[in-house]
Amino acid sequence: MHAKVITSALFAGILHCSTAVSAVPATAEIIKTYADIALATYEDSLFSAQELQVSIDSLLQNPTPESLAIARAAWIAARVPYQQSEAYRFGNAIVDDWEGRVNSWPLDEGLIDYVDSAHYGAESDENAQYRANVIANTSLRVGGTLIDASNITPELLSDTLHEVDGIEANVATGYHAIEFLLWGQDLNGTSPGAGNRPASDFSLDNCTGGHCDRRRDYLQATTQLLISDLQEMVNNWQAQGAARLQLNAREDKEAIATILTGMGSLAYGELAGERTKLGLMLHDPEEEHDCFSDNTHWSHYYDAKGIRNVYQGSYTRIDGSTVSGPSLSAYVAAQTAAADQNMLIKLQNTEKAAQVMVDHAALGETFDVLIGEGNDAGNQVVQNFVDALTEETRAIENIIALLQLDNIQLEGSDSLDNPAKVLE
Amino acid sequence: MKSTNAPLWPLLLGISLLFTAAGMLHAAPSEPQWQALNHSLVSEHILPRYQSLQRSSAELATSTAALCRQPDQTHLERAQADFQQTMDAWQSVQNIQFGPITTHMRNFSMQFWPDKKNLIGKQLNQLLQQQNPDTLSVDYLYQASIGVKGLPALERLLFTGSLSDLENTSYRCQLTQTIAAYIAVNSQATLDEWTDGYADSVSNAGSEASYYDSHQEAAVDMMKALIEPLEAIRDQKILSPLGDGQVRPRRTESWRSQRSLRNIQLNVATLHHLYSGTKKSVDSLLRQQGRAAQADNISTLFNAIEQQLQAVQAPLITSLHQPETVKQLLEISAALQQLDRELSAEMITLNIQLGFNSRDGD
Repeated sequence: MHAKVITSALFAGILHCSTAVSAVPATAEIIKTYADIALATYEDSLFSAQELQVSIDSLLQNPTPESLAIARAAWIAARVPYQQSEAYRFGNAIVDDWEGRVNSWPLDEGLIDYVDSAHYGAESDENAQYRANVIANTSLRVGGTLIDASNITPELLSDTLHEVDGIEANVATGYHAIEFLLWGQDLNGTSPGAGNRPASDFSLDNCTGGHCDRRRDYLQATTQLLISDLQEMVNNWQAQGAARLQLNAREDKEAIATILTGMGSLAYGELAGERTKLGLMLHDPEEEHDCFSDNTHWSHYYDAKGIRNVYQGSYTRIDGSTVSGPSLSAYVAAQTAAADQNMLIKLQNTEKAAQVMVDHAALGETFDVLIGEGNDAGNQVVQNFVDALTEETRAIENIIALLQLDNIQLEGSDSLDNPAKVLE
Repeated sequence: MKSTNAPLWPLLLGISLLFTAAGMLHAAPSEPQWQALNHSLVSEHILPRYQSLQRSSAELATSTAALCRQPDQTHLERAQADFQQTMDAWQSVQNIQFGPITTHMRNFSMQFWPDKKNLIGKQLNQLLQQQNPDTLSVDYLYQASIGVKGLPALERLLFTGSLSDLENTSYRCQLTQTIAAYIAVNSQATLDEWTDGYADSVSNAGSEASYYDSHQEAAVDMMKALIEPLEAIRDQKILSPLGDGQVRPRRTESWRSQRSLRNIQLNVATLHHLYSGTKKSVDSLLRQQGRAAQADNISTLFNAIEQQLQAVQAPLITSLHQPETVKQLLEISAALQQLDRELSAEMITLNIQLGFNSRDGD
């Protein structure tokens, strides 16, 4: 406790100068900044998905190792803005309800395409479609029903295959389905190396992996879906968009609570817990968010950055320009400066911890290597990220308590429909 | 809250002194009231349950070792019975997710569940195929995946397969024995750390030597142990197996040892005891705060849920296919939700903020 106070005092002068003199910004201004950043982030996600589609079209026109590498690079670039949008997911039901179509994870990829049996296993207790392999099969049996999959269309993927049989791991659409098609399974376990699908898996003349025509159809259909889904979310955040209207309709405190809920739920339960700590405890290479591409370090980095954007009211777009405005940070600082300083320090610490993972990845120690059994030093790097996020969550809770938001009721989310449990 | 070297996950989030000040608006209990409550809960609720876990897991370690020496039906049944005792003890203290059980992630090591991607099966099969003798030590298990070193892995080893798989000196039997030994070591260490320091840390909250800055802060951990499990029981142990129009019996907890329903019964009985079974209790505190009517409602709900659970037919792995069971479980789920709401509402009266939990984001 004493050590923390001293640190806060040291950083106070540095971090607080921009906000110290300002009056409390109006809630409406903060909400406008929040929504403007959402719009810019989803627009950037859409633009970069369109770039991805262009490179995928080139890949399909001429499937070579080079065109495949370009498509993979476009996928990694597309993750940069999208991951920063995740701070909007929790608290905004309109985003959370939509998210499953776009970023569902983890997935039983055997639903989509061929898999390595020795690595993946033959069956699952949980999922009868564990190895359905739609690319190789023109029909599949779900319970007593025969599904016609002779034409792979966006509608087949979104309306029928996605979460087929009520199983969440049956992910047919979104970033991770595309990732699997571009990289294939990562068969390196917790040793270095990502998925290594050959470009010829998309070749009509020299097909490897079988059913290349259907694999091409699948990749095109799922990319098209990603674009239409992102377009929908861009629309939601435009001037008269549903997400913006829903926020504007909220009471002041409720709107502020929405922002903080999104930050804390992503930082703690989702990012620190589900996507990081669980993998560390299982030492399982499949338990990484971008498991085919080994891009998890960047995904985590930008997830954390998204939380920072939302708090500081500033987002750097993919073209380098900035969207910013009156921030939640300024709002908190005007009322309780110490809590704001503490929050800023914790956000910085998280970014530093994420940067260490990025640095390790650059040297070949990607997330799946870091979480490996017996890699004590690597495990610690990941643990430090979890600890930083946990500390960050405490800082968010502290703000919620100080602003007396702890019995605000949020609408539209089961777990939030409960006084005294606003944060759940 | 002082930091420790132990991983704090999923131990949640300290509440600062400032925070307490913010809540003075409510007629909150005093520090001595919290201290008295915490003392009762530690000595009458928590410690006896960890003692029971320590005893039963030590017996399980002994009986699995005996099974490997002499793998016959009698020894197998003895080991299975001791597994049931140990799982009874664990299910009766599973609600405590703070303190020594979180050191070195012991809570996850004890039981990784739900296992949505069948990782336990995958990782256990890998070990069984490789038969590497280096993996047959408690030291190895310390650094191994949580998938292969807890009660669910042990359940698979003891309740699936046949006696001949366990023949003398087989890798499978030795792994069974090693996992049981690991669970016993973990249980012993958890109990020791409670009696050798953590219990004092709770009673001396606010002092330099304590993990807690105030008795109220320690009480937040206790209240989380009362309320957070309600949602987990409902979502994971009841609603998930009920599926979305189609039942999924294999999503029930501990279905291989046919004790899914018993787990839920023990969980609810545990929470009921935590609520009102000790000399000083949450129930008595609420009454002191002038919330007798609410306390009565909560007690009534606990009793009703326990009765409803008694009427459900076991084992769920088969009875779940009956519409009557589904109907009963849906009613129980609704009652648990109601109980969750009422208890959560009283946390405002008591000025307790539960904060984010590890299941946010599911």
